[in-house]
Formats: sequence, C-alpha cells, structure tokens
Amino acid sequence: MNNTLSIVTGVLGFFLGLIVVRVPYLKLDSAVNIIDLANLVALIVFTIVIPVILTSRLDNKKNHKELLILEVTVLCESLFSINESIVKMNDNALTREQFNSIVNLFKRANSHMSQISEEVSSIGDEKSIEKCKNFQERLKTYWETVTGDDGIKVENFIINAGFIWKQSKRYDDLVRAARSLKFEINRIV
Amino acid sequence: MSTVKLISIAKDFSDAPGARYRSDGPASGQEFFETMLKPAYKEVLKEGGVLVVDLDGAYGYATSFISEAFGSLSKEFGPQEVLSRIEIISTEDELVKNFVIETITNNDKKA
Repeated sequence: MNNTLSIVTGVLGFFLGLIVVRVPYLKLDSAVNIIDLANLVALIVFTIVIPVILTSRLDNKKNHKELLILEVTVLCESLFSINESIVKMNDNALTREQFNSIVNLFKRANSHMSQISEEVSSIGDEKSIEKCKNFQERLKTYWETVTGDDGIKVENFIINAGFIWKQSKRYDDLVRAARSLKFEINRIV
Repeated sequence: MSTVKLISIAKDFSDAPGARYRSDGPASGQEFFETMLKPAYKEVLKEGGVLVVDLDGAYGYATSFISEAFGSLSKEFGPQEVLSRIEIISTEDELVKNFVIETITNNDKKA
C-alpha cells in the first residue's frame, strides 16, 4: 500500500513539475499561486488518492472475511460427510476401511481447524477468537464422541441408533458453533 | 551425551492405528503402549535421553488410541516426568499433537 502511495505521489509531483515549467500562466511567482497549487494537490489527494486507498483496504478486508467464511463452510462440509456416513451405516458393522476413512476425515478437519484458528487470530477480533475457540472445542468433543471409548472400533462395532443419536447431537452443537463463528466473522467491519 | 530415540507411529507401528484395547481390533493403543512406547520410554529413561514420537503419516487417530497409549504412559511414569522426556511431532495435525500433550498432562487414561 505504501509503495502504491509513493508511486502515485511521485507521478503526481512529476506532472505538476511539468505543468509549472511548461505552462506560463502557472508560474510560481507569488504566494497566492503556491496556495492555489497546494489546493490543487489537496484536491487531487482527497478526490483520487484517499478513495483509492480506502477502497483497496476495504476490499482486502472484505475478501479476507469472505475467504475465511468459505473455509469454515468447507470444514463444515467435511464434518457433514462424517455425520452422513455414520447415519448411513445404521445397524451395520463397521469395516476397517470405514474406520480408517472416519479417522482420516477427522485428521483433515483438525488440520483445517488449525488453519482457520490461525487466520481468525491474525484478524485480532476478540469475539471472533472466542467463537473460534468454542468451535474448536466442539470439534474436539465431536471427535471424542465418535472415536472415544463409546465410539467406533476397528472390529465388532455395530452402529446402532443410540450411537447415531449421541453423535448427531454433538454434530448439531458443532454446526451451531460454526454458524455462530461465521456470523461473528461477517460482523467484523 | 543424551540419547534421542525416534518412534514414527506410521512407519514403526501402523499407518492405520486402531482403537483402545487389543479386543477392539488390530493396532490398538494398548498394543502400541506395550510393544513400542513403554519399552522405548524405559530405554531413554535408563540412558537419560529424549523420546521423540512422530504422529505424521497415519490415516488418523481415534482419541481412544491416544488416551490408552499416552494416558497409560503418564499413569505409569507420572505426567511431569513423561513431559520432560518426550517430544511429540505432528506437522499434519496440530490438534492431535495438543490432544496427546493434554492427555499426558491430565493423566487421562480411563479405567
């Protein structure tokens, strides 16, 4: 941003110099002309340079927010596939491949969560950081529910209605926390 | 000179770690603790070294696996002692690394 400002100021100065040298009626031979020139510079700065800088900054922040919200949405889709695959396996024995697939989805979700957490921290908005911590805590609870002592095993594990209900409840809490985080990110000005 | 012993769970044990007990299926946390983690830890304890456990390369981890393996280690040798002698590495999943450290700290093994 500083580089852009320097270039714009430099180009502006160069052309003003040319105008002063080439155009006779802009000769700087009195105090009044210097004030006029200062007004001209101020006018250009206020009408062109400042709006360009402000718009650019707002666009960057808006893009950052939108990307972050998109990342949370992608993470939610990955968590949705865990929930959905468990629900579809109702009354069936879990296979080794299905076990590996579920723990792998959690690994990817955890990794994605770390990135989101870092980015939210970099924005520095306290409420968003708090909501992000809550979301992360809910993800950990969901992970523990699905893969903990009452959760999936490699062998002899039948996915029953009780397990589905329990994990769905944790999944719903997680989705609610994600929605709350997205709202908070969107609120940042 | 102190010894540094490295265990890569994916390379040295299994790239598909299972659940808590042997009865839950292959590559359980109990099996990992008894056959790899505990002997390696006792070795570094004897020689005054450090044990590095690399979590990368596996499909992923069930929390019951981590709880059994690292909770048992913490219960047997004490959280502070274990934390001073063990280093956990995970470039792929920062949260699983934190979970292992938390498990050791809280001595989280369920009876």
